Amino acid sequence: MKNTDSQQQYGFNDRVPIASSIVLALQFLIANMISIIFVVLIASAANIPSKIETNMISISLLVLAIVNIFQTIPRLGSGVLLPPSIAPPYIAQSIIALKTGGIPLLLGMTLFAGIIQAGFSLIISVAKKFFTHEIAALAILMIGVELTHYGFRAFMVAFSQTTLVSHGLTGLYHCLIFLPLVLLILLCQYGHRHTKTYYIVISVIISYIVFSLLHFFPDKQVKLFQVAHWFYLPHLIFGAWSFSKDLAISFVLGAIICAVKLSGSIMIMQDLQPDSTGKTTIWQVAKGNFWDGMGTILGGLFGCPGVNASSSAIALELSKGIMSKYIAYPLAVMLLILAFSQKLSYIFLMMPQAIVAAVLLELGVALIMSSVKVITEKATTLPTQLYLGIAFTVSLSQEFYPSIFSQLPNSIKLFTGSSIAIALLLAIILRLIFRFVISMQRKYLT
Amino acid sequence: MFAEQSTNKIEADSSASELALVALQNIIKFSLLLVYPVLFAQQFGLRSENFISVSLIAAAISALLIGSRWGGQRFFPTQASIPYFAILIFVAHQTDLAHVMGATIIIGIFQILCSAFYYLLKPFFTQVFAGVILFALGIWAAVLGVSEFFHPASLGQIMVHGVFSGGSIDPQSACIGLITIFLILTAWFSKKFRPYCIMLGMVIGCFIGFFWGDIPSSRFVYLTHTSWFAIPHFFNPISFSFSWQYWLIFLLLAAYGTIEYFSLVTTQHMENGCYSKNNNLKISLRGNIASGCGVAISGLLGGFAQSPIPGSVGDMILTNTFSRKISYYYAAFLIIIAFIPKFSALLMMIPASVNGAALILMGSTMVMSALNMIHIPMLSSAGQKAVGYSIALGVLINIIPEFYHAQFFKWFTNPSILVCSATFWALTLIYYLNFTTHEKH
Repeated sequence: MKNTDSQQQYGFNDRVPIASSIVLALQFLIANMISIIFVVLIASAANIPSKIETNMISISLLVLAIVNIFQTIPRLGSGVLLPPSIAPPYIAQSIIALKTGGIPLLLGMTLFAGIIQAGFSLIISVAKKFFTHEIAALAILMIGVELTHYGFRAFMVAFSQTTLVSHGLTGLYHCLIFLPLVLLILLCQYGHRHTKTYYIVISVIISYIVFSLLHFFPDKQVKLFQVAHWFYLPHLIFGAWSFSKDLAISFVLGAIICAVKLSGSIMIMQDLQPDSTGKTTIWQVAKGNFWDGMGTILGGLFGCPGVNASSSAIALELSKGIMSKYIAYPLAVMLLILAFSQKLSYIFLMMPQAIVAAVLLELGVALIMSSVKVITEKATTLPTQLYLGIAFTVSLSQEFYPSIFSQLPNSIKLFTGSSIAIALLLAIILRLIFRFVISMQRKYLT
Repeated sequence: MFAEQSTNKIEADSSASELALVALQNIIKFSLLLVYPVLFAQQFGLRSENFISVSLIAAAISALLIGSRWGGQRFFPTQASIPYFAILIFVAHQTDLAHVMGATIIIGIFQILCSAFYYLLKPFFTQVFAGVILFALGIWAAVLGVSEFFHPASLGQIMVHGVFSGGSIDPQSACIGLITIFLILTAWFSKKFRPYCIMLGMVIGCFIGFFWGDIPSSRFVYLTHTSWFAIPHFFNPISFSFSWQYWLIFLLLAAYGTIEYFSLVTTQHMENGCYSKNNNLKISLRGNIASGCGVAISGLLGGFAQSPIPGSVGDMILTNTFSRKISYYYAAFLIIIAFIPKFSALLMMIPASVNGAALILMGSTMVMSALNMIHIPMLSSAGQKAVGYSIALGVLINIIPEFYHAQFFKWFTNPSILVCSATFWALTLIYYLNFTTHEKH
């Protein structure tokens, strides 16, 4: 039943017409496939042969399809639409693992991280005491900032790719870099209701058409597409794992960030449900974390980097209020098709940087505003606002001055390696301190 | 909610001691900006004491103008002009003192003229826009605070990627900063000491820094060589030169200062629960004219440009001190310090981490206040989009090196203000926004 709330189009359990669910699934697929580019990034950084890279991409899509389905089954998973993607918190350490120990080390550490990630579900009831809605929203806010950062960097890459075009068309190319973003900005507000709902799909398709007509795709990628197979059977890499104590902490940190992100996303999405009581169902979060961790375990078992709920997909859900779990089924079918069809998956992997940048920027902004909305609604007292403000600004300074944080002692650097980790750590510690002080004040002054 | 205190409202009827203490707090917190007149004096071979004295007199005049009935009757601590700092440093390096003074006067006049924008572009000067600018200011202040927290050499830095960027961190400095934050927060939680929490934290932090040897010896040397008493030499021959080469930049900067001032006034009114659009614009207009006059007078007197400090609103929100009468005591203190350079040298000995600690708290307060002011749940989806892109791009401009190193942005102390404003207004035009929950049909 379609929800009449103007803020939300489809709630968790709302059924979606088949045609709409297919188009919406395609929209989520576009958001997800941007993360598959991380696999390419990891592979190229570690100089992995292209055959192994292709296999890794295929297995990644397979794992994403499996987790996508199980996550939405209420008895098993969270019952929430949480399309997974390759987890950014694991990228840096995955590259190091590949470079130092090859595929066995990557898979071994990924398996280890998955166990930690899934194990988080066992302590969620304890963690919930420290992890309030506003802290969850703060985590989502930092993820939104991170997405916009990636998007901006993708724009810089797009601008530098002037070798794609002949000299006379450089000006046109530079103008057309903004086409996807302009389309997204306009279509999300103007036009028919369906245009506003499917604005990402429409913008991406139009941009693809324009870019292909003007031959603005890299030659190398076009050739790869031309030689790619229609049908491809991935080889599951099974039985080759190793472990490194040196990388353990960084993978644990990645697992914690993934768990926090997922928990925060479920909490915020639950808040937006019309029948929400304002209290989070712990078991929903626990099961969500379990299957998220299972995705990483499957990745470690079969041969791909760790997975986590997609930030882009979460942004899409929060901004458009499209959260129906029934969209997961056509999405899973699409992922399976792409897993077994190299040529079709390459259509997405060829995505021009300008489109990647526009989508990331748009979804990052949407995530920022959704999380800020929750923060302003939940942070009603001065102490709450103060500790959230301190956590946010100090964590943001890590992006401004990475050189400062890189000079911290190694024991502290483990926890300050990412702005999300800094924000969470500071918020939790300050909240505990503030609560203690206020309780002391009440005790001795009343 | 905390207990009523007598300095928490703009029109509060406060005791002299309360007003004086709050004024002294502002002096202590923002005195580090005196380092810029010192740099200027050294650049041009002037006696720094004299230059500081003249600058402080100009600051006092500026504060009084803004606090006067004609100037809008608001309290904003004035010191070395942050919006115009970058361009004046640039002019100083390129030309001579006469051109710097001339540029100061031109910018002041332009700022007066830019006041007309409040009414010419009235639909754009809204509470939401003020919130976006305040957000950018809060991020800027807090991030600078983190930089000062770890780098003793970052004292008084006002450009995020300015001359003091980089270098190794000092753990001792950071410890002192942490202690200062703890002290400020302890005083803040006590409602009795909340109005003075920054001063208390910073003073104790300074003592700790002194006993731990965190204050560079060069500042002791400067303190030793500074005289106890000095008369500002207003009648030194000052020449003025005007170069119209950068007039467009001056105009843009004056607009930047105008936008910043609007945000500060709106924040005061929102925090005091006395916001109304027309009154807000009227007060902003008067205050901005007064501020522009203050800048121009600084140049005429031969001092460093003086204007309201953007971070001061964070101080006001954190300590809940908005009374306009503080400006009189603030100006009085500035005049006293102008005649006692030893005192200003003493104030410049505040360790960087102590100042940074206060800045972090002030900046954080500004950010959260901005989010409350924007009041996102009440915005339409288009409004949220405009706000989202503005603050995202405003933050990213200081993260992506290709942007913050761009030549154009080097003239702006805080380029995110410009980017936020341009993005917000552009999207406002595109969307024809009506900032309510009711969609246009």
